[in-house]
Amino acid sequence: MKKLDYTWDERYFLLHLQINKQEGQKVQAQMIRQFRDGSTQQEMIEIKPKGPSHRFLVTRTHPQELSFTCEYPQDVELEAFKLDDRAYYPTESFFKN
Amino acid sequence: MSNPYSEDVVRYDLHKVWNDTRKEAYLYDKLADNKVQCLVCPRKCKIAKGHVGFCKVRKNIEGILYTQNYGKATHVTVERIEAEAVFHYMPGAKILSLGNFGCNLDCDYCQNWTYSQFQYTPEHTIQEYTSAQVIEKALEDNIPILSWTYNDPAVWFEFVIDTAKEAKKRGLKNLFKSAFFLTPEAVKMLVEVIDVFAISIKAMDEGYYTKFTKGWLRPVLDNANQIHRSGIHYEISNLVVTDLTNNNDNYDKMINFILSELAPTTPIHFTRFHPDYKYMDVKQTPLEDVMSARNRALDKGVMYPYVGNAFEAIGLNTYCPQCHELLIERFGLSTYIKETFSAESCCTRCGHKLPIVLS
Repeated sequence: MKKLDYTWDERYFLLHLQINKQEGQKVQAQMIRQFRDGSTQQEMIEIKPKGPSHRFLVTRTHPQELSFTCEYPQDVELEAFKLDDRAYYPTESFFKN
Repeated sequence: MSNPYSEDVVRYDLHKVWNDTRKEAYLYDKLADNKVQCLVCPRKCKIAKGHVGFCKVRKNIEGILYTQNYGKATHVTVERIEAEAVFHYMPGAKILSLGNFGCNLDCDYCQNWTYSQFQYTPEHTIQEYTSAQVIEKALEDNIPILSWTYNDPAVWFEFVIDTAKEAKKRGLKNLFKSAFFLTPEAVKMLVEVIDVFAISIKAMDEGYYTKFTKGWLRPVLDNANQIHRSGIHYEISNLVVTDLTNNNDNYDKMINFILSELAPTTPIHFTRFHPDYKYMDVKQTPLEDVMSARNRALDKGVMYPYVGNAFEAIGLNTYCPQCHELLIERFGLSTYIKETFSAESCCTRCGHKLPIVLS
């Protein structure tokens, strides 16, 4: 598995993540959110086979949430984009792997 | 992140090379000498053969007006409805956000200018979708709402109308987020297919509109009135720009418009700006400024004023207007419906019913 570790800061509480994959490939990724008290919250993201990519918003859920890890399969690519406005569609990613 | 504009920005000028005749525009007149007049927005561009209108995505090809952007889009993105400054319609619902290229305004601080101003859009960022593909994607991912957003969907008029009509038949809802610089004819057609309008009013000042958006205010207000009378759900947002609209005069005019021409129950979102495009020399709007606007609105009788582009603030939450109980708590775009808010949209403490559509 590959992974993106991201720590929230004062400026950004929104990201777009985009998973680039093969047409017809079903992908499962996992979001693990880390909280100040040491607890974690996991969420499975299932990406349907149709289409070469899937893009979705990730929002910081609570002031106690400090960071998250997104784990995804080796054979797909993840791009991450920062949003400084909720109505913004960013085109330049800060992470691509 | 901010994309500052400079004189050296690369221009791709795709509007000069595209000659797409797949979709004829819905609203236009044919004029003498093979000219056409677009009727989607109040600008009503008269366009000579081989040229485009202000938005750069509607082109006169041999005396017929064709949309150049039909089915051409930014990447579809799964978001939350709160991203559109909509707090009172299916709170927390997933939306499929769809944006495209071109705009009928040119705001100096536009955050999406690299594709709203089509001359700067590179071809590799453009994706193609059919209406059926968009609808299938939403249904497959269990997303109940298509959201027409990012650049102004006014200039994507034909694709919005066609897709929304089909989406409605398949049980999906449609949200239209716009500066609402449209003709009454265009609004009339949208009302037939749209379930929620998120209307962005930039300021309550004609001079401001002319100088900073290259549009004008009156049609926007008339259209907001038309939507209010239609009974369709709508919410208003106002981008509070540092040194331009972060002042009591702007807040009061906005509040008076809500109270005198719309309704005290109309939600309004005072939203923070961040530096972008040609407006880089001022700082992001302080949270205190939008909170001040929100508090002023509350004091004057607006029942649901909110702040936008903030992560943690009481101005993000929904309180019962009667007993002030916290009903919906928000952090950024994360929404938590409290036990104090019933499935019938009532405050469980005092029984007051709120105009919030839950499903």
